[in-house]
Amino acid sequence: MKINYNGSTIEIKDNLTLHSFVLELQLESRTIAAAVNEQIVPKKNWEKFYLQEGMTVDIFNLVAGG
Amino acid sequence: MNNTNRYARQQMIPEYQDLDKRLEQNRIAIVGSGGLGGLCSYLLVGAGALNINIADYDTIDETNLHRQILYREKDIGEKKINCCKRELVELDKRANINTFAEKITKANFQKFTEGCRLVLDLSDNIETRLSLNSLCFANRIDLIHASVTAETALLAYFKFSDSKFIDEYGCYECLAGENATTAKKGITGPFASAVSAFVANLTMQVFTDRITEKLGKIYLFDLNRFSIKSFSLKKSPLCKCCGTSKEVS
Repeated sequence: MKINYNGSTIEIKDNLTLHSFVLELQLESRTIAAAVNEQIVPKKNWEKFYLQEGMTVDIFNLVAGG
Repeated sequence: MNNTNRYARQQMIPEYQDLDKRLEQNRIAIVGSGGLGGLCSYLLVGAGALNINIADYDTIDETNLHRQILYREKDIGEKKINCCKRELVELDKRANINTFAEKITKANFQKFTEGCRLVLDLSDNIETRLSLNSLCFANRIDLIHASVTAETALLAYFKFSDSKFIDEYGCYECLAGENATTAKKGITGPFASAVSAFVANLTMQVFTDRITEKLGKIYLFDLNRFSIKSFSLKKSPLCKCCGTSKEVS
């Protein structure tokens, strides 16, 4: 199925959770935050959050500098 | 100086006719006086925020000077907070600046935020950010989170004084996780200064009740794309900070 990820349309497997998606991208989950359809998905919900066709997923780095 | 006219240009903006008075009637707590906190505090004092508690335990070194625009070469080796206060009082001699050259923890949080309804987290590390989020939540003090690295910045207002806000939008830890970490990356003066200005503007909007449409959102600034995206915050019932019923300490 297709989703929009950080501004690009990509093909992903069906029945993929947000957690699995992050693992497939080889991202370090502790350093990032994620939003689906412009709503933040709390990190503790990632394992139960299934991505669906047409969703818009934004993953961005946490930053801490000041 | 005739202070009646000091804010004349600001007061030409209808929404900011009484901004200076509203700011002056409040005390703001700011953590960090570096790339964000230095300029932000300066802009806020300029706008009329004459009562500020500001914390920073760092000393100024040469690597600060490219972005921390309040400081000069002669300040290298000095306590950042002392030089910051010097600049703020030089801008407006009426400014009442309380300095805390120490890390803000549970032990000194009450003293640091005494009389304050808002904390600006302009610190420089994720551990402090998670700690301040937790302390502000526990004490139901509103929090502005702003962070900047390289070409990315985050800005959010957490209205912890409002239980409905907490129930719906949660806290910083909901999105970041309790084990959040960040890599140390580069940072530039122009971007840090730009984000400082956004924080000062957001603070001005908080104190003039112009915050409604910004409630419950986190703003992602992407300098590479020259874009600002906003995302709705979402509470996690499982969050260790705000997910369970907690009493105000």
